Parts: sequence; structure tokens; C-alpha cells
Amino acid sequence: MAYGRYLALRIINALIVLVVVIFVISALFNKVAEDQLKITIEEQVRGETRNPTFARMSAEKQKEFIAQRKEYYIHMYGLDKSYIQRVMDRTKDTLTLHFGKAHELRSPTGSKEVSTIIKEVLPRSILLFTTAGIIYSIIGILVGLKSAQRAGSSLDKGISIFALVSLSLPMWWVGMIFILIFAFKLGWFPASSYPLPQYENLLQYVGGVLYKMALPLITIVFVNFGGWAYTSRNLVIGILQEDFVMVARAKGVPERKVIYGHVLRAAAPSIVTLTIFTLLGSLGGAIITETVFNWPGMGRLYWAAIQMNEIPVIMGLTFVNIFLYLFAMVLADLVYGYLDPRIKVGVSGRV
Amino acid sequence: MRWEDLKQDIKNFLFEFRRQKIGIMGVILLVILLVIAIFAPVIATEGAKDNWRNMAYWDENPADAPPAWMNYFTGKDMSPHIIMDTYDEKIEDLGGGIKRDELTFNYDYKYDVPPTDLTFKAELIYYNAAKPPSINMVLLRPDGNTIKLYSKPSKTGKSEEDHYVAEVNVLVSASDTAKKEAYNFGREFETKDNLKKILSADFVDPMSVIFSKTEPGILLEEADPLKGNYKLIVDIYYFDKRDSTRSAKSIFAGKVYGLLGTDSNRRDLFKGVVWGTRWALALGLLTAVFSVGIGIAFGITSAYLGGWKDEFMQRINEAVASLPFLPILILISAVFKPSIWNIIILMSLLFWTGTAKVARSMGLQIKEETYIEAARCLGAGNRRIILRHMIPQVMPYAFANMALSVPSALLTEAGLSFLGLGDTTVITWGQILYGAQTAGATLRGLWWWVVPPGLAIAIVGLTFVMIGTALDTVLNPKMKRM
Repeated sequence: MAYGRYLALRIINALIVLVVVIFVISALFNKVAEDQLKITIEEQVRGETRNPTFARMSAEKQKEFIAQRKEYYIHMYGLDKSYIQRVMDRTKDTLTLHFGKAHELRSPTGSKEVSTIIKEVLPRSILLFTTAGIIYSIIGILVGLKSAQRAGSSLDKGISIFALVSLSLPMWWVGMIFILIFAFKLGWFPASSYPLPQYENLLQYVGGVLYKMALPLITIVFVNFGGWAYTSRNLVIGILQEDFVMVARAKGVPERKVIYGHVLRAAAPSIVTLTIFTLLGSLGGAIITETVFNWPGMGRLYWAAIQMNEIPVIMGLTFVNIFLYLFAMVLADLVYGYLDPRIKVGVSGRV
Repeated sequence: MRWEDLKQDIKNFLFEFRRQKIGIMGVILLVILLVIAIFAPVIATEGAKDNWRNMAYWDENPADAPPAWMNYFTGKDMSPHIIMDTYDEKIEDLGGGIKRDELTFNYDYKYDVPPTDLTFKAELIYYNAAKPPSINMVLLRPDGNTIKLYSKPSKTGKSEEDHYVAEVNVLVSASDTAKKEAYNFGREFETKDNLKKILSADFVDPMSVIFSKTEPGILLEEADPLKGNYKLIVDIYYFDKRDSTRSAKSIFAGKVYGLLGTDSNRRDLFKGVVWGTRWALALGLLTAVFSVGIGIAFGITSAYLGGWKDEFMQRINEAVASLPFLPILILISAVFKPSIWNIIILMSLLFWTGTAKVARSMGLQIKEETYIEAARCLGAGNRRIILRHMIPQVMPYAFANMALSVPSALLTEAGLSFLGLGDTTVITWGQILYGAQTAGATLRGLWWWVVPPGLAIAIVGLTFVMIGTALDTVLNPKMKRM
């Protein structure tokens, strides 16, 4: 029961934050969005004046027609409502994923609808970063365990130094360096991940995508696994000093079982939540890393939208990012709550 | 806190800190960085900063030139960048009101790879508006052959008082005469097979022909270099007695350039990287100080006030913490194009939440101490208790945290700049990398444009991580055990 309450509280909390943040952003950027909308209206009306019936009208009638059409669109887009009403409408539209239309940018299928454009690139970003996240968490945890077992060894020191260094490396810059080395100099991987291969058969498609994904994947794993190994090392060292580990060893439980059964189980809640959080953190750097590799995901869309000054697309992307971020945070909380039995029974329900 | 205590504290701290090897390394790096930032005008000239986006300022440099020290690695001697403003001058009256001014530049060519371009620059002063001086450029090779490079009247100049000033800027790579003459010159020594490979004079690099031995392959950049003393002879014909030339110089554009080479806009990357140090340190430190300051004040206040106020402040903290800050910064930057100061303020307003959380939990402990109770009994107000009794207690944590939050501020700004959203009135490393990305530097192998700025970011980040870790170990021994 306590877990249900905890779960509900977390979700409600996230929803409130989401609504408030989107309301604030809608209020702040209402003017910019409306300016863009007005340009769209001008274009639409100008488009309508191109038909032959318009040319046959008298000058006065033409003026009247233009004014009438403009009014029609202003009413249609709700620009004649009060400021508060407009901001409320925008908040509602955003929450229901109606981000409006782009000016020049189009999705590969030719849609100008911002939500469609984003929908088409989002899976590719998730594919890249989830795969990378899974790989570096596994490598990181394994390396972290090894170095925790041999604390003070040269492996342990090496990992600590590597973690310190990779903390201050811009991921996208490492990507540029990797392109220089592995794509330009050695020619092992393609320098640009775009375009992704066409679908012919499953094997060819998966192989092609993997080939194009390899270099970005290596970069993300390289930059993240050091810090991750260091974190899990510290976690594990803390747990290794606990009494129950000593008891297990004293009972004669094999060391492998102690490590992978007892210690990892105790570390699981923190490790899983931290994985989700690092994934979240890397989403920020991901925006730029994708650009470097020309990986056709959200990051590359960001780049294109910024270069073309497509404010509706940038706003849509920002909202999607906020959604994802909050969703992942709730997920992290839930998983933590599930894996840590103390929360289930409500002992630390207030933590 | 008395002065004596403070002195003792600092003494103890220094004693402890000196034993942190990583910390000492960090401090040494920081001192070096500070020296570079302070002496940037001496190392990299004021003009480079002011004209970073003024492309005309850089047009004497070669484009895409690797650093000069590349010569030690490639085994080939590539010609460096040489600007010559000394020359022999001989003025001769040819009669009929025509005067010839002969400028001779002596160029000692002793490299394996020729310069990428040859430029002649001068300001011609002339008095007869209808007849600007005429320029004739010839190169005399060590083997006695000559190649004509340019022959044209100068373009009309700007009117000044009673005379005109024409700015002359002759590029051999852009001169059709040079192309044709070099092709005709090289053709005599070429084999038939080689000649078939060349479709027209446009495919020949005049610079490589000029500096090659007269042997097959001369047109294909395959012949050996001809080393020795070259003479660039520029004849300027004046049609008025008073005409003259000033500030003439010739530039042998290097295949390699300076300490860190040049970018596609011919800018000296070393100067850019040096100037970037200033903003990197400034924005990293300022953001760290502001954001940690906000975090400490917020966290301690929240802990001290307690009750529903604490709850409310924690909700605000949580809300801000659950914002993905890069997308939000991108949105704000794309719409409002903020200055670097505003970027610093925006980052500070987003980065304080982690500090606030820890400061609050520390504050909750400190609050229960008896001396806080004593202070309250003595009638001290909330503000006095927070400022005088609580905040000093968490300062050690604050200092370590400041150092540790420099890298993230630096990385965030670099990221924004890399997307083309930075403040374009200053030079930052992220912006240099943005230039590299838009120019496709990685696909063209221009590593000297990509490596140094990123390495600089990493070094500054590492410096503060090292100092922060050492401070953490010394100042917060308790935190380690938590």
C-alpha cells in the first residue's frame, strides 16, 4: 500500500512540475511563437490571392477580401483572445503535443507538422542512447566491481584517473576526434551516419544501421564508462564493509556469490537509478554529439532548427526533452522504490 | 571568528593541502592558465581579439595551414609563412613621362614543399586619374629561367586630395597569366604521357611549377623541388613624375603556419585559443561562484526556516532540478541571443539545485547545535543567525563544490557555442569548434583546428576537478565517510 502511495505521489509531483514549467515557457515565449504565427498567416493569405477570382476583383474588393481572410485566420488560430487565454491555450496544446507547424523544415515524409517531424527522429535518438547506456552501464559495473575488489591496485588508480579526465571531456569533441582518427585517418567507419540504410531485408538493415551507429556508440561508451565505473566502485567499496558481507564470507559463501549475489543486490537500487540518471545527463550532451556524427535523431534536428531559426521546432524539441526527462526521473524513483524494500514498507517513505 | 583563529585555520589548511599531490598539480595548472589569460595581449596581440570576425584582417595568412612543427614529424620540409617588406628598389626614367620602378624581393627557397601562394601588396599613389600605374610581375629562378606572373594596369584607386591611392593585392593563385605561363613553361619539360593527363592550364598549380626542377612531372607536382635564391621582380610603370609606391610587401604563404596553424578563414588558431582562455576561466569561475552561492543561501535558509516554508522551498528546488538545462538554455539562446554575461546568469540560475540539497541537509544538523540556540536566546535575528553562524559552517563544502562545478559550466557554454548560439562578440573555444564543424574540419582532416580548443576545455575542466577533489578531501573529511 505504501508503495502505491509513494508511486502516486511521485507521478503527481512530476505532472505538477510539467504543467507549471510548460505554462511558464508558454508565457515567456508566447510573443515569439505568435510573431511566427502571424508570418504564417501572411503567407497563407498571400497564397490565396494567387487564384484567378482574386485577380478579377476590384481593388476595393481585394482589400476587403484580404482583411477578411486575415481576420478569419486570426480567429482560427485564436490570436484575438485575451493574453491569459492564449497562454492557457498554448499550454493545453503543448500538453496534448500540438506544437504547430514548421516554416521550412519538413519531415522525410513531407509533413510540416512539428510533432510529426519530432516523432520521426525520436526513435533514432532513443535507439542510439539506450544502446549506449546499456553497454556502458554493464562495462562500467563490471570494471567498477573489479577495481573495488582490488582497491588501491594500479587498475583501481587507473580507473580513478580516467574517470577524473573523462569528467571534463566534452563528449561531442571526443566524437570529432574519433571521426578524425577512425573515419578520416583509418577509414574504418563512416564519418557521417546520414542517411541511414534503406530497408531491404532484416539482416542487411540491422547490419547497415549498426555500421553507421558504431562510431557514435563507441564515443558515448568511451566518455561515460569511466565515471560510471568510478561511481559503482565507490558504491561497492561501501557495501563490502557491511556486516552482512562479512557474515556471508564467514559462512563460507563462495566469493563470486558474495559479489554477484549479496553485494550487487544491495547496490542494485542505487545502480539502477544512477544508470537512469546518467542516461538523462547524457541526453544533454547527446543533442550535440548527434550533430557531430550527423546521426539523424533529435540532436541533428536541433542543429537544423537552430541554423534555420525554426522557433516552433526548437520549442517542440524542448518540450519533448522536458517530457522525457521528467518521465525518466519518475521511472528512476519507481524503480528505486521497487528495488529498495524499505520504501515498500514505508520505513523511509519520507526520504 | 577571531583573526588569530582564521590564521591558524588557513595554516592548517595549507599544511594539509600541500600533501595532496593532485591538488598541487591542479594549482600549478591554474597558475599557468591565469598567466596565459592575463598576458593574452602580449602572447596573442590585441588586434587578434578585436578582429577575430573581421576576415580582411587575416588575409595575409595561408588558409588551412597545419602548425609549423609538423615539419619534425612528416620528414618533409614545408615552407613556412614569410612576409617580406624589404626589397631592392631601382627607379629608371624611360622618357616620354614614363618611369619604371623596379622592386626586387629575394626569396631563399630551401624547402621540399612550395608555398601555397604568393601575394604582392602595395599602395600606389598616382596623380593622373586616367592613367593608373601598371604592374608587371616576374619570377627569376635560380636556374636562370623566368616566369611571368602578372601584367595589368592597377585598378583605379580612391581619390585623396590631389592624388589617388590604389591598393594593389596580386595573388598568384588567382592570376590567369601565372597559370598560363607556368603551364607553358612546364610543358616543354613534360613527357607526352604526362601531358595527356592534364586537361588544361586550369589544372596546374603555378606555385608547384615555379618551385620545381625542370624535369618530367613538373606539371603534376611530382618533380623535385628546385632550391636556391629566387628573385621576385615587380616592375611598376608610372605615367606621372610624382607617382610612387609605398608599403610594398610580398607574402610567401606558408604550407605550415605558426604554433597551431590556421583555419579556413586564415585565422591564427594559436591566438584564438589563447584569447579563449580568458572567457573560459571567467565564465567557469563566475558561474561556479554564483550558482554555489545561490545554492548555499537557498539550502541553509530552507533548513533554518523549517516547516511549510522548508517544504515549499524544497518543491521549488525539485522543480528546477527536474529541468533538462541544456534544452532550456538552447531555447532561450535561440530566441533571445543573449550576451555572454546573460549566459553566465542563466547557467547560475539553473545549476544551484544540487548544492542547495546538500546545504539543506547540513543546515538541518547545524540548526540543532546549542550555539544556534544560544544565539537565538541572545536575541539574534534570522538573518544574523543564517549569515554569521550557519553559512560559515558550510563554507568548506561550498569551496570544494565551486571548483567541482566549473567544468560543467564550461562544457555547457562550449556546447551552446558549438551549436552557434554563443555570444559572437567574444572568442570562446566552443565557437572555434563551431567554426570547425561548419567548415567540415573533421572530414577534411584539419586536426589542428579541432584538437587544441577541445583539449583546452578538457585541461581547464581537469584543473578544477583536481583542485576540487583535493579541497574535498582536506576540507570535508566527514563527507568522505557519508
